[in-house]
Amino acid sequence: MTTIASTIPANGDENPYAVYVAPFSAGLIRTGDVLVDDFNSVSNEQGTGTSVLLVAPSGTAKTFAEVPRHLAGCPGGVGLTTAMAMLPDGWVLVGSTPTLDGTTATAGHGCLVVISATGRLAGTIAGPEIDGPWDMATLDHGSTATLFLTNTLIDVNGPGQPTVDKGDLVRIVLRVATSSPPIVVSSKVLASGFPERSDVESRLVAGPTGVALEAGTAYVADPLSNTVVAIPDALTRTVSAGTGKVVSSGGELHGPLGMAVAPNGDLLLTNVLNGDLVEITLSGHEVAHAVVDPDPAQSPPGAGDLFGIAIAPGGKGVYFVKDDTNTLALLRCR
Amino acid sequence: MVGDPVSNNERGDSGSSGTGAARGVSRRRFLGSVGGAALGAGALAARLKISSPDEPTPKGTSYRNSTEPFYGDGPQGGITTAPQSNTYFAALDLLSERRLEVVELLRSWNAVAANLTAGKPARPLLKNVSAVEPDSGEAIDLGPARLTVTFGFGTGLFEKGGADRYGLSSRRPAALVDLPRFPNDQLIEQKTGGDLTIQACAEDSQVAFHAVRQLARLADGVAQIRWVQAGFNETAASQGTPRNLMGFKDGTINPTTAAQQAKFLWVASEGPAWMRGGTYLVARRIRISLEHWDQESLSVQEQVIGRHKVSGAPLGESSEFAPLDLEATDASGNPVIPIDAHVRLAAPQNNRGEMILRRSYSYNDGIDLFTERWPPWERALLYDAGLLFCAYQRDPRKGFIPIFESLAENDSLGQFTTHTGSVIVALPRAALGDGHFVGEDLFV
Repeated sequence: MTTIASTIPANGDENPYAVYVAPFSAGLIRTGDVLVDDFNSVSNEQGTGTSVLLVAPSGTAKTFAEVPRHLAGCPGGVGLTTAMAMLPDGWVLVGSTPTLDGTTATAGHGCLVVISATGRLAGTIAGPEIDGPWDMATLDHGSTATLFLTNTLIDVNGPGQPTVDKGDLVRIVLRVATSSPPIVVSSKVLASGFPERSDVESRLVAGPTGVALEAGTAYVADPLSNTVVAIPDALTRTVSAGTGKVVSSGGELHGPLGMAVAPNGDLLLTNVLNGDLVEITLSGHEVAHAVVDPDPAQSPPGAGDLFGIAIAPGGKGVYFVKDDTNTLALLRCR
Repeated sequence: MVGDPVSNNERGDSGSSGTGAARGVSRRRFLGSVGGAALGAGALAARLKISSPDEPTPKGTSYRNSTEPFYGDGPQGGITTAPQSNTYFAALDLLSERRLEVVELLRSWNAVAANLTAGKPARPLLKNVSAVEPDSGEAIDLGPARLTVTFGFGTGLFEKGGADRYGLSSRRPAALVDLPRFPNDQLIEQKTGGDLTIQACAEDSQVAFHAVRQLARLADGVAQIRWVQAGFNETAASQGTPRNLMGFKDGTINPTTAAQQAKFLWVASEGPAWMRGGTYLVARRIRISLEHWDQESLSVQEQVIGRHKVSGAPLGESSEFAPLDLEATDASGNPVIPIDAHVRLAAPQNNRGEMILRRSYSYNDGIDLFTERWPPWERALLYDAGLLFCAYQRDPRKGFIPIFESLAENDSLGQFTTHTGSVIVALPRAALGDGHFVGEDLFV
C-alpha cells in the first residue's frame, strides 16, 4: 500500500470523499489522473468543502477547481461528495450536499456542480430528482450520458431524528455537447426506501451511498442495512424496484459505503464501521477483505476513515481515500 | 526614560539563594567556551542536586528570590535557561510607521525588563495618590521568581504587506523565512504572526503576566498585542524532562551539549552581525484533543509516541535516555518503534542529523465548542488545551521546517493534535548592559 498524495489543498479543505480515475485526457486532465474532492472545509464542518484536486499517478497534486461556497443553482451551498464523473467532452460532474454548520439542521438539497476540463465552473444541475447526491455511476452514449445517483437527504429533518426510509437511486439522462454544459433530458426513480439517518454529534448523514453498474444492473451500497442490493434493468426500468434484491449482507461488510467494479467483475466496497475493503461477487459471495486503514485513533480502528474507491488503470490496484490522514492511497493488487 | 536602571550585574542584585543559583544555571556557563556545562546536563544536574536529601526541593520563597540575568554577552535568557514553571507569550503588531518610535520602544522595553527581572517594579512607584502609577503593582512582594524576558523580531518588522516601514527589509535574515503552510494546519489568523514577540517565563504565573502587562502598556500607540498564550511547565516538580498534557515526557532529545548548541542553536558567521549568538524561535500553538487521547489504551498511546509513558524510555528500552534504536524489530519482524511513531519521524537520524531545542509549555484555555478534525467529526464542548511548542534553532530552514514537513503528513500523533497558532521570530543575543537593547545593531 502506498500513500500517493495529501488531499488537503492550500485552502485547508479536508475529508476527501470522491475518487475518480480519468478515463481519457481533456483540458488539464491526463488519462489516469485521479480526481479527488473534499467534503469539509478547514472549519472541519461537514458539507462545506469546495475543492477538487487533480492527482497525477506520480503523486503530484494540485487544485483542479475551487467551487464557490454559494452558488445560485445549488440549493444550500456547496459541500462536495463522493458523487463524481467525467463525461465524454471532459465535463466533470461533482455532487454537492451542503450545510452551513456541518449538521443536517442546515443542509440544503444540493446539486451536481458542472466543471469544465480546464477546471472552470460551468454550471449546476439541480431539481426534484436531486436531494443530497451522495454517489454516482455513469454510462456514456456519446451525445447523451446516463447517471445513476443515490440521494441521501430526502426528508431527513435534522440531527437525531428517527431513521427515515426515503433514500433513493435515480437515473438521470443528460444531453452532452462540447460547446455547452450538459443538461437534463429525463429522470426516473429506480429504487427507493433506503434508510437514512443523521447523527447528532458526528457524521452528517448515513444513507444509500455507493453505486456501480454492471451488465445493466445497478448495485447500491446500503450502510444502515449493512447490505449491497441489486436493481435490475437499471437502463430501462420505468418503475421503482423498491430497495431491490439483496446481493450480500453482513459477513465482512460493516457499513458498506463506496463501491467500484473490479477488473474481474467483482464488487469492491469500503466499510464505514472499520477500515476494511471487501470484495464480493455479483452473486453475493464474499471472496476477500483487506484491512487498509487500521488507525487506532478511531473506534473501532479505521471507522469512518474510508469512503471513495476507484480502480487504477490496467487494474493494477485500488485507489482509496483516508479521511483520518487526508491522503489518497493505492493498494496494489497482484 | 527609565528612572531606576539596574546595575549591570549578571546575577541581578536581589541576591540569588544558593539553591536558586544552582538551579538557575547562568547561561554564560552553557555558552562559554568548550568545556562549559551544557544546558541539559547542567540543568539536570542542578535538578538532581535540588532533589538530594541534603538539600530539600526549594518551593515557594527560595524560588521567589532567585534571579536570572537579563543583560549579558550571550543569548537572551529564556532559551537555554532551565525552564521556569510558567510562561506568558505575547505577539504584537507594530502600528507605528516610524523607525525611531520602534527603537525607542525597544530601548524602554529593555530597561524595564531589566528592572522586572531583578524583581523591581517596571519603574519606581510614584506613591502619589493623584498620579497614575508606572507599574500595576501585582508583583509587589512576589520577588523576581527567576523571571526572564525574551524579545523576538518577526517578519513584519522587516516587511509587511510589501511595505518596508522601517528601512529594514534589506537586513532581513535569510533564515527568517515565512513559514510554509503545512498539511493539517488550522491556523487561526488571530493567533498567528506578530511583528514583535515578548516571552516572559517565571516561577510564578502572576510575575510572568505582570511583566508582559507592563511592557505592552509601554507600547501604547506604537504596537498592540495581537495574541497571547499563557502556559505552564512542571519541569521543577518532576525534576526531569517535563511531561506534557498527553502524559508523556516531551523534550528528551534536545541539543544539550555546548557543541550541539553551537552547531544547531546559535547563529554564527552565516548570519548578519546583529544576529550572531542569537537564534530563531518557531512557536506553534498546538491544540491536543485530550478527550480523544484519553480514550486510547496505554499501548496505543505508546505506539503513537514511540516511548513508554511512565519511564519515557524508547519502546523496548527501560531508560529514558537510551538511544533510539530505529532498526529494532520484534519477534515477527515488525519495527519495535512503529514507522509512523512520533519519535521515529522526529529523530535526528531521520532528519539529516538536525536537532532543534524544544522548550515548550502546556496551555489550558478552558473549553469551547469544537468540531474535531477527524472522523467521525465529533461536535462537542471540548478542552482548548495543549502545547505552546517552542522550537529554537540556528536556521528554521534546516530545523523546524523540514522536520515538521515530514511530521505533518505522517506522524500518527497528528491524529490527536492540531496546530492553531504560529509565529516565527529572530531572537538576537542579549543586550550587553544598561542603555543597550536586544537587537540594537540591527538599527545601526
